Amino acid sequence: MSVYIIRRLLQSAVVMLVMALLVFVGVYLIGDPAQLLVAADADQADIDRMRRILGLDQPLWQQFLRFLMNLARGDLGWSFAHGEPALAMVFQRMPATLELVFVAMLMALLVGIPLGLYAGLHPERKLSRLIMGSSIVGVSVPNFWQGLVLIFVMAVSLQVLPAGGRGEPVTVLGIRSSLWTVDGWAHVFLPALNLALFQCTLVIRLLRTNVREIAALDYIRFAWAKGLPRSRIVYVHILRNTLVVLVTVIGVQLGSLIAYSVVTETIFAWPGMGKLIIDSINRLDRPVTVAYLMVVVMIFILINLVVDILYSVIDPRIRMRASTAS
Amino acid sequence: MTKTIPLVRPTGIVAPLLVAALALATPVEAQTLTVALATAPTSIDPLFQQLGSNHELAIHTFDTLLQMSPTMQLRPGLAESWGPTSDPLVWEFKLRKGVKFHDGTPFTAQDVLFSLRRAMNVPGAPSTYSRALASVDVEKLRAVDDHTLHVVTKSVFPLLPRFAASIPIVSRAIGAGALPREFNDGSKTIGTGPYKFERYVPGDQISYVANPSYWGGKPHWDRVVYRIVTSGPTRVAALLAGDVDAIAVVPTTDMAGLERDPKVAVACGPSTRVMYWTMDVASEQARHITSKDGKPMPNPLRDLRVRRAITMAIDRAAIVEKVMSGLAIATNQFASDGFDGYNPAIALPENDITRARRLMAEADVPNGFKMTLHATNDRYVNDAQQAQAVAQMLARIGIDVTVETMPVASYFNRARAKEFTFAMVGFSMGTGETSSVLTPALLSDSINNYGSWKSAKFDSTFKQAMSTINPAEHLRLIQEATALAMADVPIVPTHMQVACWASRSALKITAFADEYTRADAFKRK
Repeated sequence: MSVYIIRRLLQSAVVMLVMALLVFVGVYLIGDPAQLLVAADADQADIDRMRRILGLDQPLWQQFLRFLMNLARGDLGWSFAHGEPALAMVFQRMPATLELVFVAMLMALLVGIPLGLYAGLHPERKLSRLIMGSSIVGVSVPNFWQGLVLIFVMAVSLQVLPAGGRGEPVTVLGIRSSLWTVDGWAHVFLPALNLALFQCTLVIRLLRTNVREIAALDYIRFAWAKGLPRSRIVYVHILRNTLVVLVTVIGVQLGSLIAYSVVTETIFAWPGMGKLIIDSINRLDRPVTVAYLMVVVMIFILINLVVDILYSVIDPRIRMRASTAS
Repeated sequence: MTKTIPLVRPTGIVAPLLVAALALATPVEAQTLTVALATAPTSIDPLFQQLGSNHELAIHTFDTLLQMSPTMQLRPGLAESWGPTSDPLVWEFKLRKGVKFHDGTPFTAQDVLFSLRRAMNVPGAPSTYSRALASVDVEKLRAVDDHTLHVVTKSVFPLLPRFAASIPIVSRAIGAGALPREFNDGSKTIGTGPYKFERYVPGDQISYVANPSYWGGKPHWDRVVYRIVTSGPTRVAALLAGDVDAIAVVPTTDMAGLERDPKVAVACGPSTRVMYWTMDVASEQARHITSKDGKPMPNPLRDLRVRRAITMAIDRAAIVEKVMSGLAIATNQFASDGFDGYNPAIALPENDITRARRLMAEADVPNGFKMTLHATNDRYVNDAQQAQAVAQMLARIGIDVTVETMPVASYFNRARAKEFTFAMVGFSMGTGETSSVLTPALLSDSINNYGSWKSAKFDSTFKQAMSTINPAEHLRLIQEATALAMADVPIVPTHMQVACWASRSALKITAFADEYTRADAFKRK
């Protein structure tokens, strides 16, 4: 198993380097970061000076080589636009995004699992049809529009929740988070709900299908015939076997929520990483873009790894390739 | 649990008295102003980069030698008086006495010298203030005494005071060797300004507390919180929900609704940003012009009559009314009335399609031509819509226009490479007067003269203006140069932007033309 993990991590290093190269070429093709930084009335000398300061006067391959050499020392470069270490900027914004995604996932699962289970066990009941019908809202209504509606209903009309921003983070048990306070939850509620709606729909629909499949299998029918208590059949024999699907969905969605919740973050003025990457791309701030995407690739890879490991824990029939080979 | 408060059931006359007593007993609540800004700063270091979103925050903590009035007239700041000495290259600034930095150290001419030198070269920064200081001989800066400063310019330079209004002054004692990062965490953010730095959370908010011993009198607010809310509808929602007291950059689409709302006060003022279209007036064959049947043709924009037809065909009033929801001022020069350099003699061209068509016929292109125009889609207020509107207006004189818009990230390096034939540009008068736009936009050797318009007459008149120290004569020459240029239609200005703020109705707002949000521009009624 450890061989498997090491091999996966090595593969991910290659992915990250390829990605960095793509960003270098991409920024090079789009435009000249120096021209965005100089004053609007700059002359050619100003632009040349800026290119020298940023190292953009070198050929692209030399710039990339220098990036690799710095990378070996753990230095991902300094932001063009902010003059701060790029990686530190990404990590500075990460807690806010992780908070938001954590709450959104929690909401999606707390609501999605019971509803999906119910709809799967009783597909013909009216309530199940209601659940399935209304869950379409989550996928069919655009994310930004949902967000605006939530703001206008909850913040402007009813004035029960703030329209945006993040609560004041406090440190409890060594963890600094805005979720330790009521105010923090008031702030995170709407953006998290905005993110959760789609996830919730996904969980409900997948779980329902999965539960219906499993409920029709022989071993469940035998379990009923044997007279096992209902709770044991539902929560142990059915729910446990849906976990593979659930874990897969959570794994995939968690990564994309962390990396790309930019629409929600922008609408709710949530100071997370998503806004950072959009600003950085708009400003052609290459070091921050590279650092951000490398961190995101790392997160994706780690989540996938955890998911793979969880598979073998959840379902003993699934074995990891490397462990069978060794 | 406190036992000292007895349980009373106030009845009759007692109740109102009690309420009144309680109200009196409560200490006066600290007055906090919370404002949602549209753009995040790139750094809190005031000399990091010459950028509006940085400067508007910097001027809360730091002072400049001179300040700008809402209509961009100079008024005293850290300098009480200023002017050229008998040598027109040497300017004397008399500095205010008794001013102290937030840490108590006294402000002297040495701090100014230090700041100007630092502005040229901030560690790890774009250091774009070096542009503002290009005319200053930094080696020859001299403190005559603690409160007298002599600045030597490389050539005669009448605009020095205006540039002096753009550079924040930091403390020498603290700023030596300071990195931009140390301003972001507040350890070096110590100025002489009306507010003391409290905290900065990148991408989220920045807050200040009042500097009670400010030389200009106690600031209006005890505490100021600026929140960064980039999404326009969210800013409006935050105001309507009562989360913030005021917002900057009101979206044009929301203006009408907010103006009707009795709970909201709105203030707008002409800004220093002019929007115009540049035309390739130099190339034999324009890159993006063909005849109607797609064949190459000589560049029609070289002909003054075509350019006059174009400026006549563009209905500025319609752009202001329909595209900008009224939040703009139509213009045919680089400023609106009231700004230095505005020339009242330059009239708006008549929107006369028949005459424009006749001009096209006289210029031997009676059937028009095909053209691609270029514009940004994420830089200026309603930029892509403006491009669409102009395309339709030009269709009326037979020019078939294809609109191509792109993000600013790839726009200006293409514009500077002269890749465009007809392109949108927005320029802000950084100094609050028009020469700061004329210089980049129209001087022959400027790389921002995207249409490559060249006029020796304009160049010489303008340069004469820029070396005339007498303010009235300087302005007259600037106006003359502007009239000279506009007679040849080198570019097509359409409008000046209008900047708007909104607040809850209990506040009164003063709009500043530089579009900077200032805490003390919001006053309690």
